[in-house]
Amino acid sequence: MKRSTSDALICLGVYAVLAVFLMQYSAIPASAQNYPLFMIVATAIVNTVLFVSSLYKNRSEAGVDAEQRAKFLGRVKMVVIYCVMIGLYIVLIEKISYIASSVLFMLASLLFLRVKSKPMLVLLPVAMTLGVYFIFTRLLSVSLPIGTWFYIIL
Amino acid sequence: MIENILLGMSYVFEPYNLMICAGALFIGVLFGALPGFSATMGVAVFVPFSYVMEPDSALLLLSGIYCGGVYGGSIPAVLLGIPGTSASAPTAYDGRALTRQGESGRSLLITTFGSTFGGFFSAVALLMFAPLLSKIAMMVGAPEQIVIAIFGLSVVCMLSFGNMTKGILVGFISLLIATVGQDPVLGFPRFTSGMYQLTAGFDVVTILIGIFSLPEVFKMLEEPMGKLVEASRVSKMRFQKGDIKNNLPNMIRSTIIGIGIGIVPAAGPDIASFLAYNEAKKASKTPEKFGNGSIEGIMAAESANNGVTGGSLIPLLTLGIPGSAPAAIFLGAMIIHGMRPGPLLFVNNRAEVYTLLVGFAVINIMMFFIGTLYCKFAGKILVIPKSVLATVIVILSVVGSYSINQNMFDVYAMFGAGIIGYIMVKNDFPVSPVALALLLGPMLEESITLTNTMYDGNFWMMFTRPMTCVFTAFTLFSFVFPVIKAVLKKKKAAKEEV
Repeated sequence: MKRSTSDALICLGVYAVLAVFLMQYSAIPASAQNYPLFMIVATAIVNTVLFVSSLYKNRSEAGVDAEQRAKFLGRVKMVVIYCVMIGLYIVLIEKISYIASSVLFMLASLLFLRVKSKPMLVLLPVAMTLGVYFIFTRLLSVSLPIGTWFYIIL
Repeated sequence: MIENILLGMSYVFEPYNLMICAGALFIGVLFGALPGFSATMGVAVFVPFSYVMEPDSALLLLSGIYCGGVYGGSIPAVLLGIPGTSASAPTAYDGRALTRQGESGRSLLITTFGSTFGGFFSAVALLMFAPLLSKIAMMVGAPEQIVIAIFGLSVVCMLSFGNMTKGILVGFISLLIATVGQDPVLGFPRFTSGMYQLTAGFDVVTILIGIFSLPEVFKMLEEPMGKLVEASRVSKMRFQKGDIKNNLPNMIRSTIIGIGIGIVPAAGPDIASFLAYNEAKKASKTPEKFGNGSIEGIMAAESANNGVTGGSLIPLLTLGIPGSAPAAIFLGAMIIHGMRPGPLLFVNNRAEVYTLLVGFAVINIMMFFIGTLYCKFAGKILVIPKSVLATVIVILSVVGSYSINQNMFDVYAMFGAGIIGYIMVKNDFPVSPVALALLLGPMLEESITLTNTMYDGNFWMMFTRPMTCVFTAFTLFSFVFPVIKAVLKKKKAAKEEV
């Protein structure tokens, strides 16, 4: 994707965020409206400048060749899959506890990132998960999630 | 004075107290280095441990954790580009760049030296000038904080590194995001979309963990079996000729900025490090190196953020006003131990206070040796394959962001910030203005609101205050100075051509 195209898409995203802020703006008491309004207007102005300049640049900017596009798509695919894995991990922490979800995530992550060493695949998830658990719960008094599903079963 | 210093030394150099200082530093550095943890959290967690100690030992324990925590955040910033605390964000640019160039050891040593320098001289300032500096602290109010916040936000332009429009856009939208939560006038929850978790706004540390750590993880996916630096390129911890001598004015200036910011209520080491970094770039003969592995940048940020440590205790000890979160925790601990901070503290609790003041200086000297030891081991991280490192960073980021308020919403916010951060990095949007705007936004809005109330909307009245004028002059000078410097440079070049 051309840089100017991605910049323009980001600007559209910023407009969407500003719309969300604007929709909630009227609910704020009048005495507290000035500062947020200034920030909304200032962001909109700068965003418009960037959007217009991106559209202008888009005409003159050279396109991306097939090889670069394939490389870009490969990278995006990798990042999207890994994001889904992290997202699942975060959801599972609440459901099946920190320990179980972390061991699963680490194992899945290492396999996805092509680690082949068996001792590494077994030892790292267990040692890291338990080490972090010990430091945070015992030394730093942070109670990590015990899992709502386990809680219901128990 | 000398008698009091000797009294303090006699307590500090007791073997038990020296062990407390060393142990506290080890703990503090660990707190700083772990994402999601900070010096403030370290001090808070260890306050209960101090109850069973003598007052002098208790204060040394808390001081060691505080100083170590502020320094510790710089170790992952240099090695992985992930600042352990927001105060280490400027260090991450140049530290990481130097690590990529195979100079991780030198970079870590400079970080440790800069921190020690800033911390030690802030302790000296605390010891020698506390009563004088407390008078300045008394003169700083909401109008001065507006100017300081504007001065701080001017750093956004410098951090944008050639993408000015993008940098300013990131700055403004981050300031807008900083308004999410209760407004400072009526306490009305704004822009929360009906989510109770947003009533207090986004947690700054959570957002910073996401925006700095996850993009690094996603970048590692591009070559998972590679290493950050090949084993042969993990450099030894050695200074190069001129590293200290050439940076002496820079370190002195940055330490003064750190101490100054330290005594300003609500401003912390994060703001100091950004400001000092900005000033160092303006004064530098090689500003183009900033962001690409500049020793001056690291020295400035580190001297300033540790310079805050002593400065932040000045209003507390002399006036009884805690100007920062760690100072408030110190206040609690001091009251528990029967001390009442304020003008009479130096008379009623002479021994404890001078133990704290001398101890602060000793702790900062010890920090150099303990920090060096930490760095020697931490440097080994670089030869770990990226696949392993990425996995470990995700776990630490998730647990670190959860541990701040112990709720899952922060983890989701961190994840969202990480994805946005990656999109920004890949499209040349600078991420550091996010940190600066989120830190300064609430301070700016609150100060504007208070000043508006103080002067009934007539903002020009704030210039009747001497400190506002001083800070404004300083801010204007920092804008004008680079222009003058550029003009002089141009003239000089033209003369040489002739």
